[in-house]
Amino acid sequence: MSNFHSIGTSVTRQDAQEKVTGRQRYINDSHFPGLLYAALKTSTHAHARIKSIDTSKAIKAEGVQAVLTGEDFPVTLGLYMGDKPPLAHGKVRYYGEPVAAIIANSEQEAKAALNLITIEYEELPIVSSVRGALEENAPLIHEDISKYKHIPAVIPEPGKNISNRTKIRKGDIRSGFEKADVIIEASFSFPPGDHVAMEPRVAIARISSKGDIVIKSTTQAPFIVKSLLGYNFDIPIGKINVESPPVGGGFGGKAGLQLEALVYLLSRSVGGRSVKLVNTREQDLVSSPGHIGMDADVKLGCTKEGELVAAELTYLFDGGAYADYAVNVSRAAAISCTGPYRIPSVSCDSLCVYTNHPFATAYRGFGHIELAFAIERSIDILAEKLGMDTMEFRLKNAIVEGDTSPTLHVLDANTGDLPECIRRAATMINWKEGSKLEVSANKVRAKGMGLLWKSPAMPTNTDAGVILTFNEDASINLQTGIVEIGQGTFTALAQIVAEKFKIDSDKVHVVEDINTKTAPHDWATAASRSLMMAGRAAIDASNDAISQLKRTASIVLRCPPDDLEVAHGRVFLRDEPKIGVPMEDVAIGYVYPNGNAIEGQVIGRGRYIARGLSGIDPETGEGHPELEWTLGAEAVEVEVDLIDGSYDVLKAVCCMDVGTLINPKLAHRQVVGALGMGLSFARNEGFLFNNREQVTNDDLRTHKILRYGEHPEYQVEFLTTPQGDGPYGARGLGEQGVVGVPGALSNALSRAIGKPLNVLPLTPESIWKTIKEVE
Amino acid sequence: MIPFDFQYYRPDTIEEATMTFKDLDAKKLSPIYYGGGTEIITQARKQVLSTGAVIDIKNISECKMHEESDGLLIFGAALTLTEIIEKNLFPFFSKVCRPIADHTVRNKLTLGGNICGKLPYREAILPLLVVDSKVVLAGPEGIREVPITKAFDKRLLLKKGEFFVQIKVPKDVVSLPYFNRRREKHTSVDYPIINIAAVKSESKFKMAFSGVSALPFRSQEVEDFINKKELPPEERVSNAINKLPLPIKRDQWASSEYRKALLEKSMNEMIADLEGVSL
Repeated sequence: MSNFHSIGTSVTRQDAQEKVTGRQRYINDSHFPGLLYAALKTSTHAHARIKSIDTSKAIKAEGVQAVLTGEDFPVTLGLYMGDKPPLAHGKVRYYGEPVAAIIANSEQEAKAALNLITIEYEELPIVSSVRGALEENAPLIHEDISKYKHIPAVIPEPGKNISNRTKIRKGDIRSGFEKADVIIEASFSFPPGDHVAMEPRVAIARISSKGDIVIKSTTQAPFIVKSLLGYNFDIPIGKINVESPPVGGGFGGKAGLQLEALVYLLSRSVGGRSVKLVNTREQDLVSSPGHIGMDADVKLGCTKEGELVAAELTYLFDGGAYADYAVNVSRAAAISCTGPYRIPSVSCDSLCVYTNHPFATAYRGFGHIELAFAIERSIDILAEKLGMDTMEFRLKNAIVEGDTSPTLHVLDANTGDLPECIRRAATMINWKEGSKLEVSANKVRAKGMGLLWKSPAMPTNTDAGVILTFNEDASINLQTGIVEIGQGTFTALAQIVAEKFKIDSDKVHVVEDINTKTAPHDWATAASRSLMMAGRAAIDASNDAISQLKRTASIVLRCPPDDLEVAHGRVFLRDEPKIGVPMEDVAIGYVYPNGNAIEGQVIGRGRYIARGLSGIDPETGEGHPELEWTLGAEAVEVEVDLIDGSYDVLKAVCCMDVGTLINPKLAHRQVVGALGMGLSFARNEGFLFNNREQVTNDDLRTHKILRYGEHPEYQVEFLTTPQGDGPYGARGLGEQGVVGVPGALSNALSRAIGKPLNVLPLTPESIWKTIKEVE
Repeated sequence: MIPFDFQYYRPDTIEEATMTFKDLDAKKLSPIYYGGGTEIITQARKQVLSTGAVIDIKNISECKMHEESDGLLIFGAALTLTEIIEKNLFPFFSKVCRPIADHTVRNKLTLGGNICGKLPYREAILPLLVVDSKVVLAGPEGIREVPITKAFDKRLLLKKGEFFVQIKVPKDVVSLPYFNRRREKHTSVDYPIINIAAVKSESKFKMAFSGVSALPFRSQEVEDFINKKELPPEERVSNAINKLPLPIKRDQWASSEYRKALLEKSMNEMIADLEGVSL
């Protein structure tokens, strides 16, 4: 580590000042002459036939340019499965679904005219839970899913409310359980909810007179937006430019296709004029997709020595009314279904189920935070039944190099040291003093642990690119397709390039505003793969630029390029460092004293594409879909009032094996943020539904996320087992910190009260009820 | 964004305010008096509330009064909760105000708005209900001063066109032993699922409640049961709870069973705290 120049230093993030002082400009800060504003009328029903929509008054209202309904756009769109109309068509499938749009000269006029639209509904039977959706005579939310186009990896079941089923069959499940001395069965659940990113989604679309389309959007995935618009509307893809300036928080909620398709259609309806559509907070919570809900049934067996032998898992994901990313969340959960445990016999069916709930998209952890809640609770229940310390049980069964994943892929030397993570987490939380301690007659302190693992769920050909150009002072411009969503990858990429050139990272200027015409191709800023993949591309681009610099300098210095070294802003002879030229003299072409110029500017091109990935077998799940695994252990300490169920989280800790640390403070904050988000998820969050499946907490008055004053003490440690194919040995760490937290918290609270708490969120009242055993 | 237009008035005197109201009402503009706007703005944005005109009372000096005078503590209706908390003339009052909303909102949210708004909690009234305070109300027919127990019954009883100017609290109540317990569903910045504010005066409890039922209340009958000191505390508490003037409510924040359990726990804590009995 000490040999590094920039890697491993905690340089301040490049955007810190603009963001801390509130000067960062976001998309909704842009207003310009001629811009039109759209507003959405949303469904008040969870499932209803649209009998009629009267727009005649709204269209006559002041400033209104157009009023559009589902009839105007008879198409279905989607990310993996084309099941969603841009505006509800024929019927509404969830509370908050956009039904009509108004385009007006001002936001005020658009919103005022919403009241003039009258919609007549005829209520339909509601599917209010995944288990209800799977019942024999459940109402169908999508009558004919066989007509929808979908990618081959998604396997819907026509005639049912199942949008995808992923199967894992590892070993023989029957003989696996025959070896078990202790078996537990338990069920778990949590409701769908939202990411609550600080910036609500916004998109602006414009179509030029020659048909070029410009979409400006709060998106994590500008290239996916571009290709899906091209695919769905038959537009030559080169005519579409998607721009994505820094985004005020994504957490998965801004991946895929969000408002962009609708706002494109709206612009098209008014002759291509610029139209802006901004989600209200309420729409951002409910109308746009949130996080997935789940019901899980787990059967787990171990020997009397405490060795896990078999797991039979049923994951029922509540994807809500439309498939979106949910069908891949359920697939990712199958691929990683056991959590980081060595289990020889595994059977898992992971289903994505349609319900009349707001639909789900990617959420930080992508299937892993969900499965980990079920698995980590089950591990505690099993270890307790066996009579073994739950930490020791985890240590004994933690997955290590040479073990196989549920998809039968053998974990390699890059897997990291999970047992050491467990030991470190146990030390940080002081497991030795005991995992349940009495504080007073009615108060106990208790601890719980949860392990994490995560691999990116992404296409096998996921790629990234970096282009480096140079300024006259030899400072470097870095262009990539990664979007800044708060994660800080730009700073880490600057450090990687700075490392290659042995210069300060503030000499590397990252282009903040991504647009798909000038940025090199990229999959999406998702799956915690940006640092790993764009980092590799940055190294590749640096090497390319360095070889060009050496070539120009070799002409000037009259030496072979191979004898040269680039560092500290100079190009010089390796064995005679005093002989050299400043980088600025060769970065944009060398000019001789007489004015002759040679070679021209350096343009570094770098690329990376995932290596050796494959899909999975539809019957057994066998395959190699995971690029890298990040593993870790987390623990939580709580103090619980046994009379009323209220509790404080005292401390949350995490030890994660992240490979080489590019920027230790950024990494630390990323994990602290994840611990906080995981706690908020498990303690507070989730939609509340009334008996008509309307969301009753669709604003931030009622949908409570953790506030600053409510955070516990956080402690984070890292192990640095290098990722062999990662940039300087680094691996992804963006999402992972959330994964083990819900399990750890529910384990701590269950231990405190001596009864299982298997349902999230863990509100004091839910704990009180469990203590009292009242319904 | 508030998608409808409305008129804004900021009178300098009480009379101007009430006359403005009368005038706007005659024009069928459904005027409302306006304090900090935290509720009006948010409700108007959601179009739950609509009005043709607002009358901002923050420029009326009586509404901003915040002083001790002639043995009375005077709190103007347009004081923000932050001002009340920071000046701290009445620590019990400050304590009850502090957990209302969050700091940023309390910088705007006024005493009058909290008590006269549509939200059913009206927590700032609780400490004022249990001491002998008097409210000053102004309307087209003039100004009147009314004992709080007469002026407040689950809501401030305002006649049409009237607004809440200030409240006067006898200074000596500042020394009364007090108790406040506010419980939320989970996070502290939230509405109360129960809020009890109590003082002990001449060895008797006076208590006011919010969050427990549909509206805040004080009840003589409840206090009579709590003050039956010959009975054990648990019995006093359960008798009192059985006599609440409104049913214990059930909503998405809490079930009535949980509210009742918290009420029992808190009232027992109150007795222990103010009577010096250890539980």
